[in-house]
Parts: sequence; structure tokens; C-alpha cells
Amino acid sequence: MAETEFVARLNNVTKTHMLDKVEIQALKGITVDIPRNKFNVIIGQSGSGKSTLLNLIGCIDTPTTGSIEVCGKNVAAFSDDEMSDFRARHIGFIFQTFNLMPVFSAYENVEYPLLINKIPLKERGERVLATLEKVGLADQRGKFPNELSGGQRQRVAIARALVKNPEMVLADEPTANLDHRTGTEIIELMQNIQAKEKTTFIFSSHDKNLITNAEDLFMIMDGVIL
Amino acid sequence: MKTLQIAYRNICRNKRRSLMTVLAIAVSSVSVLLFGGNISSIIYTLQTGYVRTSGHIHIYKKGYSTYGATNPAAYGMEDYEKITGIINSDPALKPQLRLVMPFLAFQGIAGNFTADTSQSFFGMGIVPSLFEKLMTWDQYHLKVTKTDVSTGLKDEDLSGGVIGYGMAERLDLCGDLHLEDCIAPPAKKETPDSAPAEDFSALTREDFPAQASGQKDTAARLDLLAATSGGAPNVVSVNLRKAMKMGTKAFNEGLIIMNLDLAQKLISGRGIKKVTGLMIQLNRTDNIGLVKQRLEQILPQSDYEVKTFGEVRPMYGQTISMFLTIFGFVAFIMGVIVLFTTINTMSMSVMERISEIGTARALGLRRSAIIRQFVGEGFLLGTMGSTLGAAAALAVSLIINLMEITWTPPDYANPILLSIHMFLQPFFLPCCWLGLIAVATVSSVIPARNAARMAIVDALRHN
Repeated sequence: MAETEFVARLNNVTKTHMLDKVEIQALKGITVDIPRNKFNVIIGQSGSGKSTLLNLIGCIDTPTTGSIEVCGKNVAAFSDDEMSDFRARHIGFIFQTFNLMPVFSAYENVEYPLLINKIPLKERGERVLATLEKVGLADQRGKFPNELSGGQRQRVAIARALVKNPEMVLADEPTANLDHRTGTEIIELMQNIQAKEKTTFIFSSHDKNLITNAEDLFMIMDGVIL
Repeated sequence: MKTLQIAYRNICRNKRRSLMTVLAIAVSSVSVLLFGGNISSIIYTLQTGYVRTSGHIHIYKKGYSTYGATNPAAYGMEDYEKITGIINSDPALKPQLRLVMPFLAFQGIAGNFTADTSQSFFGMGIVPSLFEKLMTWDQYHLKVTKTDVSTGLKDEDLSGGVIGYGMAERLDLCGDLHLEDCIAPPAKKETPDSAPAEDFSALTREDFPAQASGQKDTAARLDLLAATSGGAPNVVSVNLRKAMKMGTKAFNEGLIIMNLDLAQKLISGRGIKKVTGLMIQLNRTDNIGLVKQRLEQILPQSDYEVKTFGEVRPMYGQTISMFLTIFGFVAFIMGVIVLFTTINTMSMSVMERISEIGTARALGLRRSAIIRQFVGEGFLLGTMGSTLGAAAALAVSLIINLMEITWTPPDYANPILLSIHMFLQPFFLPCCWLGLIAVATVSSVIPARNAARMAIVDALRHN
């Protein structure tokens, strides 16, 4: 596989957290290449280190040791502002608890990443509506998060992650706060979008149902990729 | 969607807390504006009072301000009419001048021998028509007092004068001057050493027989005894037209204002007529420095000294300093209240929105943008509070001014109106308004910086 086909490459990455005065090693020398344009799934139990791994790939955390290359860039050399700009352009996030801005409507939540990227108003409007259409929420665009169901909120979060056409979307247990049926719908939605648009998805979950749907599967246990 | 729109929505999330913060800022704003407006009013009222009674600038013979009090006769101005002419005809001064008036200040003993009373007094010889004009100066359009300040004297009334209300009471002139609410002294017992009244007033009859005989005037009369510039005692009679409540207690109980001609007769006798100095009143106080400079250029500095009313009455500057110090202290306290209220509110807001901050940062928002967002909220709270406070202060000041509440300042004889004027100093209201906004904005920087410094991963865990 050529280098350009990897959206993220981790080389002997470790991550140590401090919990009070106790050191906890969340990742223990992980070396892994995540392929581009695939629906990648990281499976592991709670506390296995999958969220930490996603955080490092998503450039919202830095490794204790080792190197990470994301979208062909060595992000370790980036300043905080460069890292922010990099995330704004290249990475979409879907969170377990949706993390929508409560003071924004569905439309404004989806528009937010485009504002950060300083996309002109007209283009913003077109892209937001098109993305909301993709997740089936165009008619709900004026509603605020507290007026939407859990599934609808996660759809808005998916639209928010996709609207800027990122190179990869990181989804950290996006179905954990949803019932089974809604969770399945959300996964299907993401897979359909991935299949159509070839956006790289990196999906973490402890839900074994997802294993059957994954193109590339990474098992993580006790901070080590199996 | 702009930063302020987002800030407004975030402020509205916790309406009660935001309302309390806005009210705290508004109350501080009202306090500062009302107190400052009242101080401003007091300062300009004080200035108006000084300028109405003694003009903006005095010209004396050189050395008067240092030695004149001990030897006024030696520092009298003889050529005052010539100097008045020079000043009035100067093209640079002309547009600034309202009037130039000679005056003669002196001290003596006033006696009402029909009631067998006498007391020492401060005398002020003035030109009645100019003095009336002097008293109407009103650059700031202030309603200072409800009391009538007109002397009612006429230039042609050469023996006319007015007396302080308190002095009229002491000299038992209540009945003669038809004074209301006048407290006359208790009736005197005859004592063997009481000088016959005839002896003192007889001196007047010798010099001014027509006046003293009462052929011209039937008004209340006082006999004034003073030393002439040559050192000899001299006596004249002043026909009192009215008793006035004069500004300070000392003046109210001891001042007699009279026609300059009469004062000169008393002090100069048959010698050369002199005055103490010249009073210059300007159209606007703002030009006082320029006018003083010009006067020093056109008048020989070896012969004359030019003094502003602030120099003649140092208490004016001291009073302003005192009020400004108190105002500064109050404004500082209010600023500290706004500072801590806003810091508290913004810190609470940051604590409640840690997860959102993490999300925004994960989506690519820079630290500076997070700071901007929270500072924007502080700015908005400050703007709302300060604007509400300014509006409330304007309404309260309007009501207080309309109520015409009066109070008597320390050592004053007349009550003055309690007024609040926020526009006398053009920058006062805008400065207070902007100042409180600035304090609220600056005080939100610390919580905003704390928000921006959070580790994204830790913030996202904060659900």
C-alpha cells in the first residue's frame, strides 16, 4: 500500500495520563497505519485506549512519545494555532454525547465549521443545506438541539462533521447514547455517506454489531493494537 | 453569525444571572453618574457664584495681593478709568469681555443710631448697572437658587446701598426694611455710658448736609465709619434699598454693597478717587487663561497684577480637588464592584460551558477566538448594564432637578438647589459609560484566558 493511501500513521506512540499522582499508560507503543477512504473501526472495551488513540489521530491531544503523521503532515511540529487550523480544514468530529452548541439551531451548528474556515456566506448556505439534506434534516434546520431527538442530534453532528468536506471523520462511540435501532440507523447513514463520498471514517466502538460492517478493523486492548 | 450575536445568545442562557450582573453594573453606573453629576453641578454652581460676585479676573496695583490687606490705601488704583479704557478697546480682548467694573473693598463700622446698634462690616463699592449685569452671568444655564439676587440699585442713586440679611437683623433694621422672617435683636437697656446717637450722625450732617437731613431719602439709613486713605476717620450715610441674603454666612452678616461713588467719598474723602481694583467678567470661563495672558501683555507688569478668581479665592480649587478625590474614590469602588461581579459571572459561564469550549476547539476554533467570544460576552454585559444605568441616571436626575430640592451648603446663608447635571462636562457621561464597559470587558479577560487554555481532551470529558 502506498504512503498516500494512509490518512494517519502512528509510529511507536505512547500516551501517559496523570490521574492525581498516579501515572496511567493509556497507549503502549502503538504503531499503526490507518487507510484512507475507508470505514475504519477501532474496537475495544472501556479503558482500552481507543478514545485516546482517536484523540491523537484527531490532533486534539499529543503523544507522550512516538510520532504521528496525519493527512501526510507531521503534526508534532505544529503550533497550537496551526493545529487548530489543521483540524478546522481536515478533520471532522462526531462525539458520543453529540456536543452540539445549545445556542445554535441545527442549521447554525452545521454552519459553525464553515464559519471557522471563513467560507463566504452564499457558499456556506448552499453547503449547509446540502449536508442537512444528506442526513435527512433539512426540514428541521431551524430547531435547536433541545428540540431534537437523540438520533436527530447525532445526525446534525454528522452533518457538522461532513459539511467542510474533511479528509477524515473521527467518530468516538457515536451510538453509545442512542437506542439500538437509532444507533443502527446512524451507522448505516455514515456508511452510506462514506460509500458515496469516499470520506475516511475512523469509528471507535465497543459495539460488536459494528464489526460486521467494518472495512478495516483495529482491535485495541490495554493500550496495544492486537 | 458574529461574535456578539453568539455572545448575546450565551448571555440569554442564564437569564437570571445575566440580569443580576447587568443590574449590578447599572447600579454602579447610576451611582457614579448621579454622584458625578451632582459634584459637577456643585462645582459649576460654585464657579457661577464666584463669577457672579467677583468676575473672572481681577486687576490690582502691583503688590496688592501680598500686602494690600494690611495697607489697602497704599495699593489703591488711581488710573482705573484709563486701564478700563485700554482693556475695553483692545481688539483681542473685546470679543471675550462681558464687562469691566471698578470696585472698592474696605472695612469699617456701621451704625444704626436710631436703634442704638452698630457693628463692623465689609464694604463693597460697585457700579450698580455693571453689578446687576455681573450677577446675571449664566454660561452653564444653571438655576442656582430660588432667591432674588438683584440689588435693585441704580447708578444715579449715589447714596444707595444694600445690606446682608443677617446684618440687617443685627442692626435692628427689620422694620425699616420691611423684612419677613426677620429676627430683631432684644430691646437694649439704657446704660449710663451709652453714647448719644446724635454725636456719631452729626459727623455725617457736617459733610453731606442734604443727605443726612433726610431731604432726599426716607429709606432705612446706616452711618458708616471708616478710615480714609490718609488715615483720618470719615463718615457717610448709606440709604439702604433692601436687605439681601448674601452667599456666605460671613457676607450675609457683614457685607454692605453700595454705589462706588459713596464708597469713594468714604475712603478718599476729598482726595483722589481710588478703587481697589478692576473686576473683569468674561463671556466664557474657558477663555480665562488666554485673557489673563493678553492682559499681562497689554498692562505694564511692573505696575499691575492680574489674578484669576481661582487665585483670588484658592478655596475654589481646593473644593474642586476635594470633590474630585471623593468622586475618584467612589468611582474606584464602583469599578471594583463591576470588576468582581463580571469576573464571577464569566467564571461561572466558563465552568458551565467547558464541554462546549472543548468542542469548539476540536472543530478548529483558535484560542484567540475563544477569548474573543468570552470577552464579547463581558463587553455585552457591560454595554447593557452601563446603558441601562445611564438611562436610569438621566431619568433620576431629571426628576430630582424638577423637584427643586434645596440644601444649604456649609457656611452658606442661602439654600441652593440640589441639582444633577451630567452634561456640563461634555466627556463625563461618555467617559463613565465607556469606563464601565471597559471594566466589564477587561474583567472577562481572565476567565476567557482560562477557558482558552483548557486542554481540549479534558474539556471534552467534562460532559
